[in-house]
Amino acid sequence: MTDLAQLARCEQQMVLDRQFGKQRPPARERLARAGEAEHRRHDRLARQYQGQGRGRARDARCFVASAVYGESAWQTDVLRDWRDRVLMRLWFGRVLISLYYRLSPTGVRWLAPRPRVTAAVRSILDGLVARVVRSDKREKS
Amino acid sequence: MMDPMIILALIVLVVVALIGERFRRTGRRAEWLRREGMPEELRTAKLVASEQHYRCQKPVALSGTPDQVYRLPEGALVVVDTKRRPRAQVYDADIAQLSIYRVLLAAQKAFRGQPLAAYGYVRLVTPEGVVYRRVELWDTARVVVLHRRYWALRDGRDTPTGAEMAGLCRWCGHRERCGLAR
Repeated sequence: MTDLAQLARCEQQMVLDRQFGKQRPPARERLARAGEAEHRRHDRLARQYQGQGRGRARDARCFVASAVYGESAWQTDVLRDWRDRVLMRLWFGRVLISLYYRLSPTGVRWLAPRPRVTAAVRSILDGLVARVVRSDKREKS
Repeated sequence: MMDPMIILALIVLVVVALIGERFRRTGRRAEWLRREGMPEELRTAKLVASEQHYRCQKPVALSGTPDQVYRLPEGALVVVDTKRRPRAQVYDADIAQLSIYRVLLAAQKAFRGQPLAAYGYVRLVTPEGVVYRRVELWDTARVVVLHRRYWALRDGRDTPTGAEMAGLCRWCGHRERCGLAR
C-alpha cells in the first residue's frame, strides 16, 4: 500500500512510519511477506494466461528499502526501477545485487528493533532516491 | 540415409506432442480461471500491464505500481489490486489505493485517449479462496485532496488523526509510542 492510501487507514501511522521507519510486529511481517509472494505468483500466472506471456515477473525484492519505506512505497519503487534499469545492465551491478540479496535479509533483521539506525539508513536512502529522481528528470528533459 | 518412414513417424510424434501441450496449456488456463473466480468481463479482457511502475507530475506528483491493468473488449481500462486477508473485506484504504492508480494511469502517455473505468476490483485472497470485489472509485478531485492532506501532515502543518478501527492498532508496531492507539 502506498503512503498516500495509508492515510485512509491511519494518519498517525503514516507520520510515525516516516519518523521511526516501518515498525511491524513479527506476525504482521510474516503476513506482509506472504502477501508479496502472492503478488509475484499472481503476476506470473496473469502474464502467462492473460496476455504478456513472454514478460518475466518483476523482481519485487528490495529488502532494506522495503524495511525502511514499506514494500509498496514510491521510494522502494524508485530504487527497484533503478536496479532494473541501471544496475542490472552492468556486470558489477549484477554482482552487487546478488551480494545484496545474500546479505540484506540479515541486515534487515538487525535493523528491525533499532528505530534510530533505521532512521539513519532512511536518510542515506533518501539521498540516493533524490539523486535517482533528479537524474531521471534530466534524462527526460 | 534415414528411412523416410522414420522421418515421417518423428514428424507425427512432434506434431502430436505440440497438440498435446497446447491442450494441456488450455486446460491449465481453464483451471486457473476457475480457481480465480474472475468476473466475466476480466476473463475476456486483455492484460495490458502487470506490476508495472508508473509516475506522474500532474494533476499531482504520484507514483505507484498497480498490480494489474486490464483493457475490456469495449476499450475501458480497469485496475485490479490484490490483498491477502483472513476475510473477504474491502476497506476505504483499498478504494483510495485503486483511485490513486486510476489517476496515475490517466496521466500516462501510453494510455492517452483511453477511457478509464470509474470502478476497479479488489482481488481478495482469503483462506476460502479468491474473491473479486467491484468497487466504485474516487474522482480525481478527491485524490488531489488526499494528496494535499498527505503533504500537510508530512510538513507538520496539520495534526494526524488515529485509526478509526481498533483492530488496526492491534497490528501496529507504533502502538506503544502512538498516543492515539485504541
